[in-house]
Amino acid sequence: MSHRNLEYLNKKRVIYRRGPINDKPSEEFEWGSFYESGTNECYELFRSKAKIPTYKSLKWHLYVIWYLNPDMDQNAFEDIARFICNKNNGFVTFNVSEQLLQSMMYEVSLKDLDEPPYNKTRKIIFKDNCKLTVTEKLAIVGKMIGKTKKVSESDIYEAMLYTNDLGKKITIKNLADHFGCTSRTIHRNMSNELKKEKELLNQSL
Amino acid sequence: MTLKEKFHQWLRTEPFNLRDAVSLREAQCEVIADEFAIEFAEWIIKKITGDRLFKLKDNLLEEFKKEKGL
Repeated sequence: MSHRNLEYLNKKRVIYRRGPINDKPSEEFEWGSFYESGTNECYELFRSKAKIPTYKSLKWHLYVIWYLNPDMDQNAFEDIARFICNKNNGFVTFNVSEQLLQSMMYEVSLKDLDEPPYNKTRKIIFKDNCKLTVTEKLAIVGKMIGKTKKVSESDIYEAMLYTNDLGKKITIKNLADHFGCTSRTIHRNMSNELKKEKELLNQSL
Repeated sequence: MTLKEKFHQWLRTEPFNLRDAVSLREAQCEVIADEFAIEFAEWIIKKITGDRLFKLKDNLLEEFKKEKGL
């Protein structure tokens, strides 16, 4: 598996992460913040080791970059999009045809920047410098969400990403164990899209 | 991911709502076929020569496709 080349984005000063700007956390901890009702304002691209496996996800990533960098011009955006779409740079799992790349860039550049891109709801946001291991983060996610007794699709997705980062296979059983709920609860809260994502993450191991 | 799954992703499950969806899908399928052709060619040569680091020269597939009218 090739290493994701984030240095290029850093060198070009591309913003690819941003915390919530209006939502206030219900609780703050040394390691980060907890949003009981969740927040949709946190964009953290490339935070897990998982690569972009689908066209839909790739387009979303490009849209978020376009949104988070309002001063970026069309040429700079094309440069970044080309870099991300190049499989050798470690961001995507598939090669992208020139035609698809052009079409995506065109579609993304037509998007209204006043409207934030659709984003998954997150309840727990760790500080960048929290120094916790992935296992410790996963344990906190399980504990905090388990306390609320409401496991949402985003919570499951969050746990899936951490499990994948640990190099472990994601199963319904280990997700249920993790949140202290039944497998049925996990099944009930998993959309078809999330089930597909689970398969793709497991295939990437 | 199997070859079938790779094609499936572009042929069936992706949310293309564009007028040119068909040609985009065709272009992506060609990318998958190209990838397969290169990997297979390199695999065969590695098997025959034992050269584990063998890499096909850039643009060789393009030359082949042009020559064969593919």
